[in-house]
Amino acid sequence: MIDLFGGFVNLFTNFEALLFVLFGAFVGMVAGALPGLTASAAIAMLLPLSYHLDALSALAFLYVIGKSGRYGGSIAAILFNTPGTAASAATMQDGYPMTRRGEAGKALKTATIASVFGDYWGEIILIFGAVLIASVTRTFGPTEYFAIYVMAFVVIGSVVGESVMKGIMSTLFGGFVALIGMDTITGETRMTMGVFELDEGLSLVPLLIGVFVISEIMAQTYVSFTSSAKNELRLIRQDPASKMTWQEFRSCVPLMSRSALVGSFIGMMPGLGSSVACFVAYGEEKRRSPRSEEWGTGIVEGIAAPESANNAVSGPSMIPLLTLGIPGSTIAAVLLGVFLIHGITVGPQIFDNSNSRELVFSLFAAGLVGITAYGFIGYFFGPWIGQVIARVPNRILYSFIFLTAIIAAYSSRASIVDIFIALLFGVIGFCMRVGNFSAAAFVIAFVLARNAEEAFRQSLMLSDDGILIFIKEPVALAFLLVGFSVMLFRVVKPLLSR
Amino acid sequence: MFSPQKRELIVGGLSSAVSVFCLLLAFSIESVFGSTFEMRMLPVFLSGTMVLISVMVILKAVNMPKELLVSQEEVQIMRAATGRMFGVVIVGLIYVWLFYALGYILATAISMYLVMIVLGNSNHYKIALTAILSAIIYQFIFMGFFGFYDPVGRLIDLSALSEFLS
Repeated sequence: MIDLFGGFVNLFTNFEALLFVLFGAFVGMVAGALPGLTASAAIAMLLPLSYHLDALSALAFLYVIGKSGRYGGSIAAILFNTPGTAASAATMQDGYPMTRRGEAGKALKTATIASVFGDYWGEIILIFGAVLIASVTRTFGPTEYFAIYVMAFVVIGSVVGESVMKGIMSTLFGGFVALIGMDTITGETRMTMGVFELDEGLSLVPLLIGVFVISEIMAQTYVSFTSSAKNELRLIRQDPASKMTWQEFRSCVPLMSRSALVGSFIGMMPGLGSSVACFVAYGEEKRRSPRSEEWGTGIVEGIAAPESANNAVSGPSMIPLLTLGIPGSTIAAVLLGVFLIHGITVGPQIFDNSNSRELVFSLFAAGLVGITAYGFIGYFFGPWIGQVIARVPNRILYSFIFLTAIIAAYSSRASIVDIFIALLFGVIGFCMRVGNFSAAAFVIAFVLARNAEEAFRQSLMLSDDGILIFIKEPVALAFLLVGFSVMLFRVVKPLLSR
Repeated sequence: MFSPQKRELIVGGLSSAVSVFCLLLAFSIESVFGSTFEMRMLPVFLSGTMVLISVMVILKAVNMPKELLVSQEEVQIMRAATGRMFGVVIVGLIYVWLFYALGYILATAISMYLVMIVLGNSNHYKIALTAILSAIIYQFIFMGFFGFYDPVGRLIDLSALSEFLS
């Protein structure tokens, strides 16, 4: 608690960081509310700004965008029947019917309250859970770490998409692409095809921009041409004055608490994100509800459950990152990059060093302030943000997103080659979408692969029995078994259900 | 035209092509130590596994239904949309060349004009005005305010204008 108090003091005495927390709350909400544009895409475009900021401002800014982006998705889901993000897909089912009845204000306010409730819950679990787990993982060496990396690759690849094969393929491809450039142990370059700019490897920023932003612009161009969905993005009449009553809130508290727990648990699992949490919570609460037949017709419980769960994912998804150095989500993967840019090694040892410990607790404080900020903005200005978004045509909006994406790709290393790389990965990202491959698994593997290779080679150097070291070390073996059990379960389950 | 089987066969074929390319790239890594700790060990393993999985995708596709997913009319719309979609990428490539040849501000203005057309805007007067204004604003924010490196165009040197706007 003293550390957290110190974190608040640190945050409130850093005016720039505080300003970026508030800015991040607004930007994330708007980005999340734009159909198609995800928080990851917004973070990718704004990542280069972090080079010009101190570590706390940069991390707090991007972390809060991730949080408010998840919430922002509910605005589009409720008002336009189009989920702003995959995490808010379940919210549509009751949110949009309420909007059609003229209760958009109540639906949005319910979503805001539930999101803030779930997000606070998740953040508290992160604050206490991360320190506790880090005390256990602190003793791990390269052998255990390599096993954890393999487990993460296998679990993320297996659970992140519909097809295990394609999920694993995405992970392998991300890992392969990360290995292009200089080998950290020998100092030799590899697989650069003679391109000088690739000697230091592919930069994260153009890759993220390609996979998340350029591919999205391509997808939006395609969708706007083949369907009239975009034209249906009109704001239906709403009554901002309608709001959640105290009685409704009280009846939703147990449901939001249970959903937040579900979301927090799912958030801790690498690869399982908000999109899974929202549907699990929605399904579970519908099953428990005495009036389950009313779910889907526009009731506040149908918004509170998924929103509480999908926002509760945010905090706990940072636990694998802070305790093991393994990002459990794409947003955590980007934050890992930001930590590294500022010379901070992420893992359990982050709590040992007083400076980095202070930074992490300041980040926790920023998260709590960010939740409050987006809750406030969303509660009072959510309908207004929705109205503005409905009035800006996609063909204008995405033109500006295109320009911003290009300059963001360029600015990471002031290299025109990076723009080309962003375009290349835009096409790759789009093909991955069409082919049902997982962009999230690809990006997470890209971020982790170099560390995994280093851990693998260090383990082999330490070993007298070659590769058998991973079987002889019980902790490493346990992680490997967990990873392959999850994959086996995912492969066998559909076969058994036939 | 687009049956689930055909789509998956295309996906599998493309995946195989990428995987084989990656495998060849991995084998191009020269041995440094000549031991098992070679730096090509992991790339070869990753790309080799990719090849195996992409073959499995193709094999799975063989057993999928062959019925058409969409009508011929829809296919024509999809083709037109695909052309427009790749227009975005082509504008991006043009941007790369313009950036190199003309510098940031001019490249931004021209590319904005082009991308707005590709994305379906039709009022050329408004597009031109938006392109010029946005180029000025982007120049001011990114090159001026954030201080990103603004290289001089190889064909046209507009550095005086860029510096003024920054």
